[in-house]
Amino acid sequence: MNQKELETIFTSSFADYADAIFRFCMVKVSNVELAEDMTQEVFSRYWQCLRDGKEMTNTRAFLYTIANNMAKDWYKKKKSDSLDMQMESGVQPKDTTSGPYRLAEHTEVQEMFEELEPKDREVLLLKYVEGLPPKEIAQVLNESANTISVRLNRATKRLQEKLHI
Amino acid sequence: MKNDTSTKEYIQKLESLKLSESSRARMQNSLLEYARFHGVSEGVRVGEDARSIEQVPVSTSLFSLKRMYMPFVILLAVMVGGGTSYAAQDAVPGDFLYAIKTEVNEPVRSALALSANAEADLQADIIAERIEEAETLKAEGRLEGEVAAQLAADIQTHIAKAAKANETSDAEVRSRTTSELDLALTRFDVLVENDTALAVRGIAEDESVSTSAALGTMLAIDEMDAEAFRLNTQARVDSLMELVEENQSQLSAEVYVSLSNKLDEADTLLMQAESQAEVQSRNSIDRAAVLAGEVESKLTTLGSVRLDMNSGAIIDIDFSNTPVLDINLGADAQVDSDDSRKESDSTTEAEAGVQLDSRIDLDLEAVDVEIDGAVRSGLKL
Repeated sequence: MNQKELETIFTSSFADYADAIFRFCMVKVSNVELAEDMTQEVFSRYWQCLRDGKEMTNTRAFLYTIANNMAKDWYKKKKSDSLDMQMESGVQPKDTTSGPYRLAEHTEVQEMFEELEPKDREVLLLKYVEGLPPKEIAQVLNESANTISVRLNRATKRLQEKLHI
Repeated sequence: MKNDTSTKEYIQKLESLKLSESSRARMQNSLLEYARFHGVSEGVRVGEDARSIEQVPVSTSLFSLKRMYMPFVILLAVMVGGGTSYAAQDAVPGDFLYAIKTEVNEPVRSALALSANAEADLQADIIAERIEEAETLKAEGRLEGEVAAQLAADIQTHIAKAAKANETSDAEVRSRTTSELDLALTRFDVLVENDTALAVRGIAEDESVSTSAALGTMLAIDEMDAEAFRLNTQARVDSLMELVEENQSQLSAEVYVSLSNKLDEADTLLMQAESQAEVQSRNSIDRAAVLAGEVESKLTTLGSVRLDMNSGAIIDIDFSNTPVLDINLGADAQVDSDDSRKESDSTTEAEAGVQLDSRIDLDLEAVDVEIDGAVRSGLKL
């Protein structure tokens, strides 16, 4: 495969998954700028693999895996940072395509979401927003499918408690 | 269950969490830039055998390969023994030892020829060898059918190898081996043409390519049209003769004699070339051109020289000055030197002569350095 063909593949993957990866990073780091940087880094690593001819059967899962590993590294480095600081810098991205009502709703969900445990957040996101099956989530987060199912179940319960549904 | 659905709907609102358009565009641009900078063209192979840059050896070619199978070659040489291998040297197709000659001796020699130059020379030798074999067989009346076909195929293989080696060999080696091969092939053609069995010719016609035509295309790397080359060289020699005659008084007797001898010889060669067959004619012209080149390079060491940019020929020489190369386009090749006129051994200039050899792209720098070196050494004839 030549450069042109690879670039085409790369661009289409970016179009398909950039937002999903960004959301995942947001869930992980709660900071727009950082999440953007991470997204970019994820895709540069994806390009390297593409160029080196690594076989990728599932691009989406592959991208999540890179993002997850990067988030882990980030946690290790940032452990000392206070939660307040993170919240402070967590500027909300503006989705210009949606109306004010939708935006307010979204902000509410996000705030609620922030209150959950990071582990709950990531499984909920991957399952309900991105629609990954538990098996793939397990692959991305490097856990067994069973663990993921259990975690998902508990996370759903905890969220429902918070929302009083 | 209803709870689950509403939870799901609730969380799905997060989907509107997206990259802003501006971030997205910026990111895509910088990623594409990154992708192009770290592009495939860096020599990384893509596919199943993909390897990273570091793992691709810089010289995958001849050298490392030959090193790799050198142990086998030595082992074979030891096993077969010098005596057998030596005895096999004179074998012809059909002989018991012929296989040893082609399967052992020649690969060993090829393995030992590490440079492209050596390889090209060797391949030319091997082809000449094949043709000698053919001549021997012919004399014995055994050049027919399968044997002849085998020889023809073998020759073609070696021609391909020679052409490959010549891609990277020096210009000098290339022209030498090319003319050697030309000559050898003519001999082979004659051999086959006179053969009533016409075995090889038949094969050649089957492939609708005659052996010599195939060789011709493969070897015609940067050859000029022979006729144009002859005329060009003739013009060069003529103008040089004139130049030397005009400046006879300025030259020492010894130098004058040596120069005019060379030019006379070149002139004779060119005259012969006119009536000769293609291959010999080509050789004669080549020789003449080399002689003219020698004279030119000698002249550049004697005085300031003006060159014609189009032909690279010397059009004027001024002995009152120190050697300065003046190209007729205003591009001055200044040479720093002492004021006195210097002479130097013309043989050391032979290479510069080849440089000047009717080439349109005159390598100013090379000539400059060459002359500079000659002046510094200040050799006397």
